[in-house]
Amino acid sequence: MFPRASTVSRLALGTVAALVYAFLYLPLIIVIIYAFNSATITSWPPGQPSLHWFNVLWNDPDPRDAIANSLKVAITATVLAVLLGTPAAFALQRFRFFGKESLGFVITLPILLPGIITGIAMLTWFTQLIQWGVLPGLSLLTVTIGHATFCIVLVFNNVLSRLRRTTRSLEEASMDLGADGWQTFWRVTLPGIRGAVIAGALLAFTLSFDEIIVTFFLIGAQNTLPLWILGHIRQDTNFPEIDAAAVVIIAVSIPIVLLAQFLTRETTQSSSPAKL
Amino acid sequence: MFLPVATSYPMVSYAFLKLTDFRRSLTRPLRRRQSLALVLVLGPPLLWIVGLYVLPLTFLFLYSFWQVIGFNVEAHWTLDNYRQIFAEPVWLQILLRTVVMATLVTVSAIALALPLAYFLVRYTTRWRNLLYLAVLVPLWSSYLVRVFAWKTILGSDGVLNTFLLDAHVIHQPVEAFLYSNYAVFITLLHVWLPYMVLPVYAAIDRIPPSLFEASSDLGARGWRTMRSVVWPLAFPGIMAGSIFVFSLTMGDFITPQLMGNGSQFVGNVIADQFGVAFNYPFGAALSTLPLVVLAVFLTVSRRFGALEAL
Amino acid sequence: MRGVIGPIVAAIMLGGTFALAPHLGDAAHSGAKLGGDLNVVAWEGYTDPSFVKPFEKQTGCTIHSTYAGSSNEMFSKFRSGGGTTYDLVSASGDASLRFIRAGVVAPVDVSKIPNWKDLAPQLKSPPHNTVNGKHYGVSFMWGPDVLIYNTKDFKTAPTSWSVLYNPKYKGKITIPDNPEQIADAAVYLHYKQPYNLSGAQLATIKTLLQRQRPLVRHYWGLAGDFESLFKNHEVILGAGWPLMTVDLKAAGVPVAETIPREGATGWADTWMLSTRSQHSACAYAWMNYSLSAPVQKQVVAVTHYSPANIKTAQLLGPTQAKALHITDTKYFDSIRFWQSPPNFDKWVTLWAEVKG
Repeated sequence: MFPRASTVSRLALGTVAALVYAFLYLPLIIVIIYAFNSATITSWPPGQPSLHWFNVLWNDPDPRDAIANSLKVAITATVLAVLLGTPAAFALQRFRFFGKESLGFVITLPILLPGIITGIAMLTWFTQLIQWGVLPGLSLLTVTIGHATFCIVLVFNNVLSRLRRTTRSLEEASMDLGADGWQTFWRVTLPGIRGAVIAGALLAFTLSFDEIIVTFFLIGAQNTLPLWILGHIRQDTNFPEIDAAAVVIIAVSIPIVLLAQFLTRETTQSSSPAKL
Repeated sequence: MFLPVATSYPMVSYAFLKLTDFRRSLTRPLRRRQSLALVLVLGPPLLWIVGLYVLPLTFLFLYSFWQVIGFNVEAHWTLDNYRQIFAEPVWLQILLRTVVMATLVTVSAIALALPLAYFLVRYTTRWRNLLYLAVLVPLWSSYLVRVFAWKTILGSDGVLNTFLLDAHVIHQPVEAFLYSNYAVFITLLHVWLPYMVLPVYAAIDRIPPSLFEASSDLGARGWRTMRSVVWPLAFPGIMAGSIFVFSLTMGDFITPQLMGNGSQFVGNVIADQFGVAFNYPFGAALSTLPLVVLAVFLTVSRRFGALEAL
Repeated sequence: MRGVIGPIVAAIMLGGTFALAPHLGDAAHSGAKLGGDLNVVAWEGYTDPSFVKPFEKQTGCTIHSTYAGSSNEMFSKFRSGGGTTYDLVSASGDASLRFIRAGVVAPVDVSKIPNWKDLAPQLKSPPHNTVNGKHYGVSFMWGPDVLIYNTKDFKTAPTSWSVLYNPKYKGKITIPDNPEQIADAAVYLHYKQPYNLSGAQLATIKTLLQRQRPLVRHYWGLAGDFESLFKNHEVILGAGWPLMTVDLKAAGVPVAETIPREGATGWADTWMLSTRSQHSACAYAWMNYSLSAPVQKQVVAVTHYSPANIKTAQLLGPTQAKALHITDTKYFDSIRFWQSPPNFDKWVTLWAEVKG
């Protein structure tokens, strides 16, 4: 080892890392400052510390409806993503069939291409379906379809990479001991990928909850939380109310995500074939 | 051989993965039973993807050959939309500006993510998980709120100007901070950076620590290790992150609208055709511009990633 | 694409979706459930809670409004989802004929709208909303586009639109992000027909707007953008609407508005009803309600636009009635009301070139 070189690069890298964190967190700090402030206009310096905007937020029905809509969409899209993404990954990793590579690529497309493409493609198609009378109109349902389509990829990718890394010996042992395909799947394979499914679902939920581009094109007259925020920004009303909403969301989501992270790690370790 | 980029975190690079080893399959019994199982397992997701994604994409492409006649979209086949794109230089200029912006954001994100991820893997132990999670936290606070926070920072009376004025670095507020392409760049870099850090971190995390030790035992200093060990082995992760950042930037129209000086980006002009001009067919034709760019990017990166991984 | 197979395949696909997401059923089409929801695309200020809340209480109809920043945006929004999303739109004169020609708005039976008879004579059956004697909606409010300025920076009102093209105010100007701005440039250049411009006139305007481009701090999209720019002192001059002056003054920003000597463009807005609306009872109730003199007075308080109902003049008092030119047909005729130019696609491209 060359201690000096190591110290220098450690110091240099540490400085860069600190700057990156500062860059990532500066806006969040600003958000928090304005959320706990009485000022209406968000120019610097802010006014007196206050809980005023949390009070405004609490008494405003619009963001509550918007959050409820966002939750409905995100939960449904996540459930759909798990139900469709997990078997898709399983099929691609455990079966042989024609066109498999191309299919894998197509499934991944919704996150490789920008959201605006998904949004306008579905918008034109749904508009046609509405004209045919198949769909009643744009709504949370159309938004959910849009979200589920990219959420599927997130679960799919996580599960696929986990399946690829797990050895088949456990499954083979299970089969050798007389279990049939389904038993093996339920008792051996599924527990092995549970962590990946949860991680994928968590990511899907997070991205759906914050999604705005696809939503922008596929929504009817309702609001999701990001659309409510966009409306607020564009209409210049009570900016810091947005900051207060953001603080609430961060405060609620951090423990959930930490917990989920903790849970997925536990399952990963306990069911990892390498550990056994 | 192929290096898995995969991560407990996202997405990643199906595009780079060469599918390996399918010799063995789960169930040995009759072929028919296996076909049935495949249909059951693959059928629903396949139907969804084809019916609700591939079909809309195809339909969008068909749309680009239609026209608005008398304020309504008519299935009247024409190449006019494409002719219109090439008739005026403005549309290709907008595409060029968007590609330049997306490239700058992507390259800058790599420049920030790589040292950060390497630092986390190499020099942190106890705090590593926490620091890694700290990269994720901004993702859970609304994208729009963060964009808006940058508006507060960069405005004429904003945090940055006030700070610089107080420090006597400047004597007049710098107006170019906000409503400019710089503002768009900074904001996009901020909002998309985590999408670069995560796959890069995952890729570096997978490099066996012994390689770093071997590198320094052989006398390589930090920079050399970075260039000869980290970069090639993290490359698939870097490419995965690049695809996300590049693609997200290509398609964003909200940040340019809120932070820009009116300079149009591809996302804006497409969104305007759908949200403002009510010319879906022309918007559909315009959307082929970023699609062509992304197709080239995906093809190149796929090949590149594969070559590097060999 | 017009065959039967497409719809059948689509129906099967979507059937699966519905089955998987049953709890979304109620949200699937918010309009369809109670008959009480009225989805409106409107200009900012037209669905202010001060008069919407009492309406909702009276009728049990709930109003959900979406704002648009330009006539084009309004047209596109209203038509999204095949015209099923929104019931009502507050279309300006340039867009109202587009709605009618596209066949997406329904004729309105004015005999079911008692307050219609109190409208100013020129607004009862204006050519922008009445075709072949059929009323496609009812007139609501009208007004001019005004020059708004910060009174701390301008001790006296600017007398000409030329300030918006003056390099002295570089980086302190905002104008609408809207091709209709070409007509404002035409008015400034004293062109006789600002909505029917020749190629040569458009070329002159293009040069003018391109020279203006670097002076503009930000092209505003919604009234809110405009107000935020003034509040944060990003700009001191802008082309906007009287509503913004009201809002900014209320927020304590020192601003005033003026109509420069070249004259002004302006708008006359019409409530129009979607042919696919399933809540026409609520829509009719709203149209009548919003045309009543007391409610028009409340709209004036929010927007400072001129009310279409001339009886509002009595409630407002002579001074304000005069200031708003409620019965002044001469003033009304002097405004260059928004129209759809015959070569509008050229305007759109020109605007993209100026901004791009």
